[in-house]
Amino acid sequence: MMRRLSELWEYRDFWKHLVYQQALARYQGSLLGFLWTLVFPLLTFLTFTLVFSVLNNQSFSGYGLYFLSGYIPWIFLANTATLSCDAVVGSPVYVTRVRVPRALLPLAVVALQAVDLAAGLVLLALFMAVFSVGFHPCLVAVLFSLIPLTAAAAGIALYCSAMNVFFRDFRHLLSAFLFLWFFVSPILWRPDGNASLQPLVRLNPVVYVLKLFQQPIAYRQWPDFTLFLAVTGISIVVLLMGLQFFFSREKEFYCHV
Amino acid sequence: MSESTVKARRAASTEPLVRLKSVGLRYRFPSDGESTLKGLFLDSLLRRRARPVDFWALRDVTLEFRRGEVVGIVGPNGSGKSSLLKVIAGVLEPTEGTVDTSGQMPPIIDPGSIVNPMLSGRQNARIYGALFRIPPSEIEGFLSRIEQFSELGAFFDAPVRIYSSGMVARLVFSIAVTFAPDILLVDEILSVGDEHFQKKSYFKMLKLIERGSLAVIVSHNTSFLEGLCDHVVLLHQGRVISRGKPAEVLRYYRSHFS
Repeated sequence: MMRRLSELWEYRDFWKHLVYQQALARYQGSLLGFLWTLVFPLLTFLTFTLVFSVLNNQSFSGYGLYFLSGYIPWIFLANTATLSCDAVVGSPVYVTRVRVPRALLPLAVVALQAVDLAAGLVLLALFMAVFSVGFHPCLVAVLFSLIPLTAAAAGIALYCSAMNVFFRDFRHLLSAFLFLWFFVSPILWRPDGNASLQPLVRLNPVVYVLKLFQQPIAYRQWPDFTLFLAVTGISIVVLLMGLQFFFSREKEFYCHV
Repeated sequence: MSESTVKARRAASTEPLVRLKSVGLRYRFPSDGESTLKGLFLDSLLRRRARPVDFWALRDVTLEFRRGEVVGIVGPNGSGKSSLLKVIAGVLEPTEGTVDTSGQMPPIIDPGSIVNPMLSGRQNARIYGALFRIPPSEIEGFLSRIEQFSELGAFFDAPVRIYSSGMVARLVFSIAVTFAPDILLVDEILSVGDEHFQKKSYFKMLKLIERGSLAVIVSHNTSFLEGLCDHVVLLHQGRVISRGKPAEVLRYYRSHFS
């Protein structure tokens, strides 16, 4: 494990090139290309916020802020998971013709999604400025919450990219599963509203990650420190398990791509 | 510089750069093409047992290559020539046996396969530099040598998508010999590019070999191999069935396989 990790570190320059090449392909090398990728998430956000703020009888800005605070980390996790399914399968040349640590491929997906995550946070700042939601020191906590979020995303990306090598329908199953998971998680709805939903909330692991964002952004509270430590610890375990799974399976990829 | 002087001046060095010991490489394919979770589910539901199909691309290969050697690999299609290069380069780990190498081993078999057409020749060379783990402080020196050797001129800074196929071949060869001159793994690379560049790359190879590089060349061009190689390895169905002096091995190859 340590040997593999230090090898990954040796290849960090190549990883940066991978990220750059993927960004180039995705954004077609222009700022406008980058802005285009924001259109769909923005549309989703506006639609959901309009519909559900009316349905829930809440103000657009209050509901919007709550929704955005959970939606930004959620979409980062969900997109990283689905897009990493193609990371290895979509670049067979790095498996069959090049000697390179293949874990760089899903990790490049994480980096690219992190760009979108950053764009989402800029959007959030704009939203707060437009609706003149003042600054509060607890917003700093969001920066710390990004650590477990990214670690968990990396672990998930490693796991999904390897699974999809062996089972090509994994990504379809995953998309369906994530679609359901989105509605079951307290992103569109508030977890404290309905007592009958409590067991659902308590058993859902993603709730605890989202809380690290929802608390400071929507409720203007410092997140519970023990919660932060617990989520960070579990995220690192997820990352290590993802690495372990990927490294142990990497040798067999060449028969399946 | 003629071939005979190169052979004569080559130091009789005994330091092995590549050592393969009873190497086997097995491909294990799922019996019905791609495997899926759906298939796994149905198989367990119907109590079927899917048998994977095994194919040994290499079996019991024991070889040793030394500094300053030129080794030719011949064999009919599907005999394991490319698999052998992949195992030597460390692209694939052998299923059984061991591969020991020293020196700067090129991390890629077919350097053209990761050229990004959207990027310029220079940017592509940078990517290869990162793949070869060239320290960032040394990369500029390498780039100017690649620029010079490839003779691409202004095209070196133009996107590769506007290159002709010969120009791509020149870029790729220049990158390969500049970043990893110790061990040359050549998979029919000299068949591309114009006559001038073919000659130039041929002489560059001779020069590197003279300086002590190892060249492993896969080719179907037997007269080319006969002129250049110290010895030739004949592969058939993943096994070494003959090795030794080029003339003898190639005579055997011609009489049995063509």
